[in-house]
Amino acid sequence: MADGRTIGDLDLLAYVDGHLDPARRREVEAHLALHPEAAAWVRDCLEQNALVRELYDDAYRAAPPESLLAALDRPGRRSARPMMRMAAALLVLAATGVTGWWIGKSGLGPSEAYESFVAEAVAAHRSALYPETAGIELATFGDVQALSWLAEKTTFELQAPDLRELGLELVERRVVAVQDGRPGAQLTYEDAVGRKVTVYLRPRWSERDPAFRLTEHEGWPTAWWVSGPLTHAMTGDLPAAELLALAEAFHTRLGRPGTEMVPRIPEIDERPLQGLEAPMQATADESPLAPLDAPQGDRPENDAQSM
Amino acid sequence: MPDELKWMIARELPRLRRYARALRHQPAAADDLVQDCLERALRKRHLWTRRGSLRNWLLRMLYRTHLNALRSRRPQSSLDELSDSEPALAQPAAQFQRVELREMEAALDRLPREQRDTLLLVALEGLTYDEAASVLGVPVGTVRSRLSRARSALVALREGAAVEGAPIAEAPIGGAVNDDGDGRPRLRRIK
Repeated sequence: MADGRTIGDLDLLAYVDGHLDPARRREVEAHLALHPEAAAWVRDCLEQNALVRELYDDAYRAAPPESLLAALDRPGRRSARPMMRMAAALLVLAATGVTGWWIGKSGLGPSEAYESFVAEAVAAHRSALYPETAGIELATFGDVQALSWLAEKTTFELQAPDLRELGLELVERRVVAVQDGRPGAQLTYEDAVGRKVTVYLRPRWSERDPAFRLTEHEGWPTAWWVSGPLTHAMTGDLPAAELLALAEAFHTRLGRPGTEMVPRIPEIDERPLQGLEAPMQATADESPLAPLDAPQGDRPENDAQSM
Repeated sequence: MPDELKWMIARELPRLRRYARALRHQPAAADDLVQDCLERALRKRHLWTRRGSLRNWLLRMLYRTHLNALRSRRPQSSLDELSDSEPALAQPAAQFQRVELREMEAALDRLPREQRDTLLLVALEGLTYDEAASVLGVPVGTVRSRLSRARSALVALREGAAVEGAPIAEAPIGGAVNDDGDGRPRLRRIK
């Protein structure tokens, strides 16, 4: 309340930090008009505030990196890329041909393509078991690191899964191609009694430009296409031609290896959520000033919170 | 963890990154601090009672994590040494084009650590004195006195000249950097 008390240190401090009610502010400002030294001090402090905020503004404005957002998904561990493990597992599933349902539903093509893939995987498996056996043309890519080769083709960083707790030791990693087939990465695991399990991994890239297809679901136009390791669907309330053009534009920009996509963090809502904010309990306060209302004016970034 | 809490924490990431950047200077070190803070916050999420601000709870977590890191690194050294002022000043000058920004950063680095941390909470993050007291774990009177000292010190540093006497009406709170024994503060240039 404005009651003509002497303006002291604490008032000036509170003025700088915007903790005064309008009446008290006017009193302080009147005081400052008459006391140039105090006014200079206040001016300098306000400048300090502005500079400090400017110093660290870019840390505030920048979108937080994926690694931090990912840390929220994996409590207790410094997260690398949790999604990558899932992708590797899916690749493995596809290679072994277990997911027949997947082929059928997405209509990705005749299952003959996968039958020949499985045949190649089996041939590669046999060659891992009996390397001395002639009879199939097997090209091995000598120095090529199998997983870096895969990483380069798929833009995923993959790690050979650790299956030791299942009794399997990784004994071999190589890149092979069976007869005229396309090359794939083969991981060989071996158990304690010498039985071998191989995993054959081949990037599912499509050689041609993807076919962009238009469909509609519950009234929502959707363009979808398969390319590289992904199936894509773009949905929007747009005319067909526009949606297709947009899908192609998106795809062109998407398909560059190493492109980082960082989601934009929505604008920060400065207001506290209802029901979650409780005023801080005022501690015993030796100041002559009573706790006052929200800060004023020149601090656009700050919450209106009561002390 | 419940998605709502995760979303609410994500909202606070820019603020946390900003304060961490002010504490640690280097962007990578700052983000490391935020990540450690998040992991700690997730482990202790049951302690957040939904009364009071999540933002302040996270800032408190961040500050405690920062202090723990300082203590575990070199417990016997003065904490002022660990303000990472050296790396900040070693950054290329083009980091801040404007001279006054560089000077402000240099001046901030010269403040005693607890004054700087307090000033940053109030001036940068806009916390009230009560909130800052809660984050820092000190009484609110301490917040006020640190603020007053920090601001006066910055005024002096930025002017680069000795300032005699108190610029304000009454006896200053808790004094400034030096006291000549007559109760009036003398602010000297700090080398």
